[in-house]
Amino acid sequence: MTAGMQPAMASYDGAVARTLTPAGLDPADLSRTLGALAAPGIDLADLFFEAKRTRVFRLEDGRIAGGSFQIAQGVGARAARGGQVAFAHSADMGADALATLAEAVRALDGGVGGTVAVPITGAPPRHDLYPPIDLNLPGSSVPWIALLDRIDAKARAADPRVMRVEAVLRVVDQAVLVADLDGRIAGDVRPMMQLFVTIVAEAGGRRATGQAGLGGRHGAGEVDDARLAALVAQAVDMACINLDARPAPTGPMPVVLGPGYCGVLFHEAIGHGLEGDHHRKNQSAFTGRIGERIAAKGVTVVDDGSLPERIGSFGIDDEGVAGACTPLIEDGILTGLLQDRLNAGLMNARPTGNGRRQSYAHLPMPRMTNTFLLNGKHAPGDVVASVKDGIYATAFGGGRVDIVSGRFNFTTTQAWRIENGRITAPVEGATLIGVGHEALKHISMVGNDLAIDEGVASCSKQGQHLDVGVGQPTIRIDEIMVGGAA
Amino acid sequence: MTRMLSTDVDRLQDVGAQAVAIARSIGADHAVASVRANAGVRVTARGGEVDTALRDAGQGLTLTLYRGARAGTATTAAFDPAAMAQAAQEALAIADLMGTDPDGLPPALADMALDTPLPPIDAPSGRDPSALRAMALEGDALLAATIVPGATIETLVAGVASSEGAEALVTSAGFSRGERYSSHHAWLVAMARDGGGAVNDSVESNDRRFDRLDPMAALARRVVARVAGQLGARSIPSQRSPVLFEARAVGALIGDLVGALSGNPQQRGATFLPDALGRQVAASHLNLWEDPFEPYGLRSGGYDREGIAGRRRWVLNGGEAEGLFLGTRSARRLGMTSTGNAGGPWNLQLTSQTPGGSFDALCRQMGRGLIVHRMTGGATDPVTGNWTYAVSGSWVEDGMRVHAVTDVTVGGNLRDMLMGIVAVGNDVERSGVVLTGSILIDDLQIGGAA
Repeated sequence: MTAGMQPAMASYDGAVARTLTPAGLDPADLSRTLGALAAPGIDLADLFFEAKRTRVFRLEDGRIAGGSFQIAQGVGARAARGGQVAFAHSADMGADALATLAEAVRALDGGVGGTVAVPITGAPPRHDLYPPIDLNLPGSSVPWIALLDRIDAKARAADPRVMRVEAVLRVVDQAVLVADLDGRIAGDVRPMMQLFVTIVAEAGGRRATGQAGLGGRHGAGEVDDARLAALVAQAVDMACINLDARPAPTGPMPVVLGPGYCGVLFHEAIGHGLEGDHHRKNQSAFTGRIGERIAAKGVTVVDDGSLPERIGSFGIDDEGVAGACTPLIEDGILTGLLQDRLNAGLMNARPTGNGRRQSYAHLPMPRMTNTFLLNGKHAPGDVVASVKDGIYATAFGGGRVDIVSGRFNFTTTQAWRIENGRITAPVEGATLIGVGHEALKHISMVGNDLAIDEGVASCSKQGQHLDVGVGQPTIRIDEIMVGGAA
Repeated sequence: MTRMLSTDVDRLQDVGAQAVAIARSIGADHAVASVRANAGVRVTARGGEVDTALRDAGQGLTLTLYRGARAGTATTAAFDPAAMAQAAQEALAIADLMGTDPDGLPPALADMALDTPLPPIDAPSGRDPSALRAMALEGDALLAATIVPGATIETLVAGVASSEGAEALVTSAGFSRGERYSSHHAWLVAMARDGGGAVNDSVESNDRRFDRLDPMAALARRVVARVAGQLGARSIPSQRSPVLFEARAVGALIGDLVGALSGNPQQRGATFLPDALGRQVAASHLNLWEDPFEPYGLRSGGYDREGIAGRRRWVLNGGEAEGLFLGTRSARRLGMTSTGNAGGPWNLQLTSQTPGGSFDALCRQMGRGLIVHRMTGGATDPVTGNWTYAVSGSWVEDGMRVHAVTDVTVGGNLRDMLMGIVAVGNDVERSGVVLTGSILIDDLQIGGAA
């Protein structure tokens, strides 16, 4: 970043330039619309403007086989009366559209509209988590294409069993601006790139796949040759190892989870269950358990939206609250909830910077950012060596949780048997299951090799899809149910 | 009748024609414009109150431009000439960066559905938000009034949604058609709680005609039966056993089969059923029928997103794969012709040549084994067919349900599972894109900690 630059103001100014300016809006328009939303009894209302450009390129058979560009923009208007929320959105951001939107919200709410303009008085917050760069300027595709062009040759050179090489590159440039009933205004420009590589390997009539990806809030320059080579090697290794994989064993057994993406365990097992909306509605298996010990001493899990350049990070959340670090488990004790403004307000709590939404056309709700287990003291090799008969997993294809019961599951994409402390034969995908408030009690060793995933994790909640981060050091779980096909 | 969507197909065709003209004017050899608009209202209730009331509205233009055999695509939500021009320029700039791909060129006009009949798929509800609100509150109230001995029932979500949409496809070769459609949805998510903990489950009804949605009373009865039936669930020991998948869980299995028979995985060899056409891929009594033209079918349409009509056909006949799901590009790569499935499968129906009787009859046929009510998570490996899922269900002894089951997994390989389907029940319901009865699979690995 250029010395002397003021990224915070550049983020806010960039957001204004991308949202309000093209629509011909000024703060008086926002004040008037917020005033119209502020019917008697409405205690929360906001306007969320978004302008987003997405470029996707696809590599197939050694050439760039597909490319697309998408412009999405619009504004969402929300008004809440206690827990009852009325919401409408429009792709048109002009002043007339705002008036129509306020009317639509009022009709949904069933109340009468307010007439007193809401003064915008707040100063926009600042941050320096990532530069407010525009990754999708005209002509900006060349370095991205150059990146993709190197992947096929690298993969085929890595192993002769590589049969297919595919890659997808996604470059997103999102500007958001939010103004609310309390006169606050905030804006941000959020660059984001993700690159996924899929390999199909073949040997002896058998085929298997491997995937790897990377991502972050930065440009193509941050993906140097070493990082690209590591990405390709990871996908090729997974495909080739999986060529020899056999159906996974079934039953409760010790499991060692490697560093990084395996932290999806904490996202599923506890993260979702600590989102404020589920607690306000008394629907989470963790409701009433705050302060309880749910894991051994040494287990500390946080949600931190303020890590630089991570895809789960943001300078402000989608309600204008700064990204922050919220402890979820401290030394084994369940401590915190993740809150947005609506649920924090109704629960007499503070918003924690977790109010997120998929787009202007979706309602915000409490969502995770980067959720991870902090380091322990064990060397990773010692953790593996401690297991006589179990599974060692290093990659997962995502997971799910039932908030009400706390039951979670996630499925391996790369795993091996551990026999007498040594990693032996690779096994095919197995689904691991557990109950959030019980499973973590079985964590007996925490490694010292904390890693956050490479920038590939995503999360779905009530149909809304978001990028997140997950992470952990190597851990040993003494017993978890492993569901294989053998 | 009141319509939520104010635009019509003619207007979208005009937008498409303008976009194609702009594309040609800046140097595109071919152009394809896909234009869509939608509008809807969604209301959810719980605890005797409306929880959320949402009005949805959206529109989009996707423009694919070709320079020679290079293609680029751009999408915009704005339909003004400046936005269309920007999208066209972006698409052309992308095309210039692409490798040549003759297989990716649009289909020939003669192969497109220029004048084929369009199935009826448009039935606007005519309901205003207050009617949807009343229905959602009714669902919530029905659950609140339910008495289950020893347990409390609570609404997690009672929801009603109604939407309308329109689409048009316009190409520089001379194709221009559009369709209007409607989609209505009612759903209940309920929680049951007793001394042993809490469980939840959901039911839903989807239809293109609002008055064909299941009444809230019927949905409430079903969801209460489901959650109450899951109370007291426990695990079972790991073992091999037959598994009876309830109809609502079958759609996911057929979805995996459709994926395996689809053009892209077939031409890439990235499927657990390579070179499937003409081969036995499922038990010899199984048929899978595809019908794009079923009146008001949830997956009905006059043509796919490339303008190619699907057709009524057997995908499986006696377990043999008679058809793949192909779009133009994958069809050309396989040396075949498009099946009109560029947008995925149309309405599907799974049947058996030897009808398996009622659900209870399937339980008796199974004797001892696991009923899967739903998969709660897990994954299918599309290349190897490895299939492992977490499930909730019931345990059956001597053909009778003994207790509810939770904290178990089921694992197998889809190649074996499709061949191992021994019966399809007559308890037909829609599960995703598939109309199907429950299915009985002879032998799967069950994982449990009991």
